[in-house]
This record gives sequence, C-alpha cells and structure tokens, in this order.
Amino acid sequence: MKSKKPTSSLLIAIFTVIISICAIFTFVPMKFGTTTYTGVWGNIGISSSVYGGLYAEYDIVGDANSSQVVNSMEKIKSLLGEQGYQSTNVFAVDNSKVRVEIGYPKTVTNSFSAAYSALSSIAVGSFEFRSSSGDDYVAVVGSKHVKEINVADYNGTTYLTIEFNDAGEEQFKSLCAASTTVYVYMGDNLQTSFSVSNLSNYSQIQLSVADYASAKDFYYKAMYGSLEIQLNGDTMEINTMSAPLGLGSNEGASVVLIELLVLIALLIVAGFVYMAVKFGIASLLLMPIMMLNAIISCWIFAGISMFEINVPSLISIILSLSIVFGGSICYMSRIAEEYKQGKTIDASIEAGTKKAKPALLVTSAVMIALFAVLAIITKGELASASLVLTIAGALNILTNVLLLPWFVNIYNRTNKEQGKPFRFVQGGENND
Amino acid sequence: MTKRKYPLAIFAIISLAIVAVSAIIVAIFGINSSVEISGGSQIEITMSYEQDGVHYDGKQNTQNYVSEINKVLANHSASIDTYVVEDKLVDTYLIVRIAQKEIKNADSIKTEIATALSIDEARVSNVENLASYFSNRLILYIGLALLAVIAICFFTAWLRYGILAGVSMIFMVLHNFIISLALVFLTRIQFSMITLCTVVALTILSTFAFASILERNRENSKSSQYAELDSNEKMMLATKQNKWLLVFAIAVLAISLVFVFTPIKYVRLAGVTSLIALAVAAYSVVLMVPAIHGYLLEMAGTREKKKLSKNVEMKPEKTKTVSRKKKAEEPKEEPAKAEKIKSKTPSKTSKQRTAKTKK
Repeated sequence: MKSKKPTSSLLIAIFTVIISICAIFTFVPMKFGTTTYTGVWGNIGISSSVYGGLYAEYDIVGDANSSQVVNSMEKIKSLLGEQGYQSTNVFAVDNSKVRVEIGYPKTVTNSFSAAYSALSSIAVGSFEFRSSSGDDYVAVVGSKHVKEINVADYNGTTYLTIEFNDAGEEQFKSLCAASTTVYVYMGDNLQTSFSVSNLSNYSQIQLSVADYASAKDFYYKAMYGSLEIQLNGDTMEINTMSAPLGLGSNEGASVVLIELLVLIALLIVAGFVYMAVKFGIASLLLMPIMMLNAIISCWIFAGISMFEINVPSLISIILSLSIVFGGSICYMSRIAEEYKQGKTIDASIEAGTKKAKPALLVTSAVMIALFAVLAIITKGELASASLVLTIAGALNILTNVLLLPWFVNIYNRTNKEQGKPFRFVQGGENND
Repeated sequence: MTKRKYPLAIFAIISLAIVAVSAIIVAIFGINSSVEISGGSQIEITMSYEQDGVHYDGKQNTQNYVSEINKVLANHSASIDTYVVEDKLVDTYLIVRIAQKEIKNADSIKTEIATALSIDEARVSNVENLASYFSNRLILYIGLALLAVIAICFFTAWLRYGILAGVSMIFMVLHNFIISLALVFLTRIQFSMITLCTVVALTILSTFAFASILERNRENSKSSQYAELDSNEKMMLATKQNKWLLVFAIAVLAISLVFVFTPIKYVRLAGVTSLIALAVAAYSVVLMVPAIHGYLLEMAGTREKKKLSKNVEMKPEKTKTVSRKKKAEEPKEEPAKAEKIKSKTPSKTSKQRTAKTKK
C-alpha cells in the first residue's frame, strides 16, 4: 500500500505558482506610477520583414567596382547583425547607391532612436589617423591600412585595439615620425586625439576608453569607416517603411504575426490534447513545464542581442514546440511499452525512464551541437533560426530528461491507481 | 540474411534521377532565386498625391497598384518578388522589387505602368538594377557550417554507435540536403533564405530521428531477446519501435499544410519547402538509410565470418607441417598403418572367446 506524500504534490503546486508569477512578469505589461514595464518579451527585437522598420539610402562616393560594393554590403549586414539587426536587407541600387533596411531592436520606446542611430553611423565617413588637424598630414586610412579592430576589458578598463596590416604598419611609422600627436577622424570630423611618444610596436595601437558602450560605438563607426567603399553621409536619407511581406502595411504585417502566434497556440493546444488522449494526466504535468520553457526562451531571446523575430525564427519556434512535444511522447511511450509487457507501474516508470533518457540525451545533444555550430558560423536569418532550435534541444533535455520524469515520479508516488491516470494498458493492444 | 523489401539499387536510381533532372533544369532555366539572394530590379512609384489642396499618402491604393503592376510585368515575363511602402519626408512611395535582373523592353515599362495606374509618368521611376549582399564569402561560410555539421554528425555517431553508423549518418545528411535542394530547383520553387533555413532545419531534424532509431537499435542489440535477428531485421525493428517519430512527422506535415494555405508569400514558401524536405526526410530515415546501414553492418558481419571461417580450417603449424610432409612424402603408408593398428588391437569376439575359455 502506497503512503501518501502530500509534500510531493505540494512541491508541484508551489512550482506551478512560481512559474505563473514568472509568466506574469515575462508576458504582461505593467505600469508602476510613471514607469511602464513592458515585460521581458518587450525586449525582443522584431525584424523589418515582420513589422516594418527604417531604411536608409546612401550615395556611393567616387567609383567603386561591383566586387567592392558587394563586399561592403556584406560587411554592413554583418556589423548590423552584431548590433542585433539580423534580418537586415542591404542592396546596391544601380551601383551608385546603397540601401539598408532594418527593423526595430525592441518593442519598447526609444527603439526608433536606436535604429536611427545604427543607420546614421553607417555613413560616418572614412576612418583615419592623421598626423595633424590641418590640410597637410600623413594618414593611416581604415579601408587600406587597418587589419582588425577589437574591444576588450582588462581589469575594469576598456581598451580598443587597432591592428594594422603591413602597409598600415609602415604608414603608422611615418605618421609617428611626422607627429607625436595622432588625430582620429571619421569623415572630416575630428573625433579625438592621443599622444604616441615612445612607441615600440607600430603594428597595433591600444586606446583606453571611458566605458564599454563608448568603445563599442567607436568600434562600429571605425568598422563602417573602413569599408571598401565610401558612403556620403551628407546626402543620407533615413525614413520609415512597411514590412516587405507583400502586405504593404504594418497593419497587414501585424496580421501575419498574429496568424503565426495563433498557429503556435493551436499547436500547443493540439499537443496537450494528444498527450491527454494518449497519456492522460501526463498532459497536466507537462503544462507548468511548457510554461517554464516559454519563460526561459523569452529571457534568452531578450538577453541575446543577435536574436530577432523574423519569419524563419517564428517557423523555428513552431518546429521547436514539435520537438519538445515529440520528446515527451517518446518518453511516455517507453513507459507505456514497459507497462504493456506486464510490469507494475513503478517498475515501468523506472525501466522506461532508464531506457528513454539516453536516447533523449544523445539526440538532443546532437541537435544542440549542430544548430549551435550553425548559429555561430552563419549570420542573418539562418543564425536566428539555428539559435531557436539550439534552445529547443536544451529545453528538450530540461523537459523530458529532468522535469517530466521527476513530475511523473512524484505523481505516481502519491497516486494509488495503477496505470489508469496515465491511460496505460497492460498486455494486448495499447491505445495506438 | 534477410531479403530487403526494396533493393538499394532502386533507392540509388531514384535519388540519382532527381539530381540529374534537377541539374538539367538548372542548366537550361537557371535557379529561381529571390531578390535577396541574386539581386534583381526595382521600380519606385510615388503614391502620395495632392487633391484640392489636401495631401494624401495614397496607401489605400497599395493592393490595386500591386495588382496592376503585376499585370504589366507579366507582359515582360516578370513578376513582383516583394514590395514595400516607404515614407520619404512628406511623400509615400511604393517600391516594387523584381527577381529578374534583365527585363524585356524595360524602357517601355515606365509608360505602361503609368497608363495602367492612371497616373503621371513622372511618378514612376526607371527600372533600377539591384545587387544583393549575397557574396561568395557568404556561400563559403554556409558551406563551412555544413561541413562542421557533417563532421559533428560523423564523430558523434561513430563514438556512440560505431564507425558504420557515422558513415550512414554522413550519407543521410548529405543525401537529405542535396535531394531537398534538387527538388526545390526542379519544382522551380523560389530559392530564398527562408527556403534554405527550412531545408537545413529539416535536414538536421532528420538526424535527430535517425539517432533515435540508432539508439533503439543499440539497445536491442544488447538485449538477448533479439539475439537471433540479423542486422537488417534489427534496424527494421528499431524503426518500427520509434512510432512516436510518426506523430512528430504528422505534426510537421500539419504545420506545413497550414503554412501552404496562408496568404503570405514567405510563409507559403516555407510551407511548400518543408513539405518537400519532410518527404525527403521520411524517405531517407524510414527506407533508405536504415537499409544502407543494415547493408553495411551485413557486409562487415560477412567479412568477419569469412575471417573466422578461414581461421577454423587452419590447423596448428607443427601438425600441419607434419601431416603435409607426411602426406607429401608417404601418402601410401597410411593404409598400411591402419592395417597394422587393426591387427594389433584384439577384436571383441576374440576377447570374448578368451574370457569364455578361462571360465
């Protein structure tokens, strides 16, 4: 005779309450006095392909061949991706203009100014080190002489390291011979200056910066200023645009977003209904776990700047739900199989869990490894979609290797009826 | 040895035929790719207008304009790929993008569009060429990522299930990816980032499915219950035992069908592509790859058996040498020896006779 363990059921109840409170803070916007809190998911970026955004057009200065234009466009897309604008569209129009389209980084206020600022810094002008602020100077030019720029923190101080190529090293040597003060220019605008006396190494230079945010801002401007083509900041135009989903309006794009969200909701409901029909109470045990998955996912998406909601990532979210539900079905099916062979419910759960865990661990680990590699190496929409599926693999382990077996065990210990709540059938045909 | 339901040759012929036909179609017609992949053309139409001193943005005409422009472009063997509505200071513009870089009689398009939309020709721009950011370097990055994926698949499967499983896994990933892309090109579905993402995602999910089958096969191999089954039968059993994969496939199928019937082009594209990739994955994971894996295991088993059977015939060297030497030198002596032995050993009847006489 099983003894009741009310503490186990209490644990599940407490878990559910905590999850519900976390869910409120994650999804529900709130107002505290004059402060509006949009919820964690308000910090997730949405791409221009879903909700429209801003575009900018820049005239190309001077002559540029198509290879230089394509390389520069790729660089712009890559840098915007680092800033969190994964689904950027970059085109060259008649090889004389570059057009860049980005979404809003967050749904909170001041995301418009963040996006505007990101576009403005693209046409910052040529990044140069000059020997004087006058007309006669020796210059190290970013596009010709700079190999790499890095930002790093050492012992609480932020450093910007600029590494020169061979030609750049020679030019920098000449610059230092011409002047002990180096003037930093972006376009024709003086940014800062620093002293270069007693330098032993001319292959790179390290600048200390006030804070990480300023260093990053300088880094992006320097990178844009080192493109193979020069963009004219004076004739730059930045304006708003609708989503290019073929609906021609943001209202239409909202319809798309709502449709996909409704599909996600329907998939969740279908998953729970299937679990309830096949495995009874297991669907109820799965509900707080899925809520926890949604909360964790939101926190991760909001925390990672490279993530953006676009059509591929929404589709990946839908696939992720299938993966997690599939894992739960796999786990419960193994227990059902053991019970069908005539074992007791305790023995079935133990044997089923023991057999299902390695399979789920190995398959999820493979998935995590594969999609993580794609998320790191690739850029843009493929990276966003891969990130979602990497998280799906991790959540599959959390749900079906850790939490669901734990909840099933807890429930089983407090339940006197053998296989009935789980709708398991002993011997003969199971409910296949 | 279990006779396979479908010979491997049939699977090989099907896959090669798809690749061959796809290659021919690409060689003749090229790849139907989107503007973001291969660039194209762009036309800008001013939608805003002034009427009775009032400025209107004209956004309510968007769908009508798009429809009319599509009709005009159809006469030039072109069509709209995407379109956006943008604001520029006080004016509103409709930017229409076409996937073709070269349009027939592009000079007359401006006039034809203005006529179709009943607007002044000055409000329609010339056809502008669009170059995309999609460079060779990006293709290289995607290629490197896929190589990394294949390497991880191989080493993971090798460590867990043996080198033959690693080989089968590589084969499956390459097969799924190539055949899915071949079918996309063959069916002239537009190749875009969404298509690529869908193909890659479903290819990797098929490794998830195949790994489940291999895991089950590994478990069954350890069990004495299935000791009598050969490798092919074990693979087929492991495939049948993973019924939950069918539920997963049905869920993906249902989602894909819903996508196919949405009015949004990108989502529809993802739906069609996922239907193709799902069909390829099902064909691969259920039919082809388990058969190949079983065949590889069989070959390895047969080789092992041959090695063992050769070893059974081999006698210890000394005996061999002696017997061979003796056989070579005195083959005729054996019968004589046998006779001698026979005569030395007393027969049963003579023994019995001796016992009887003693009594």
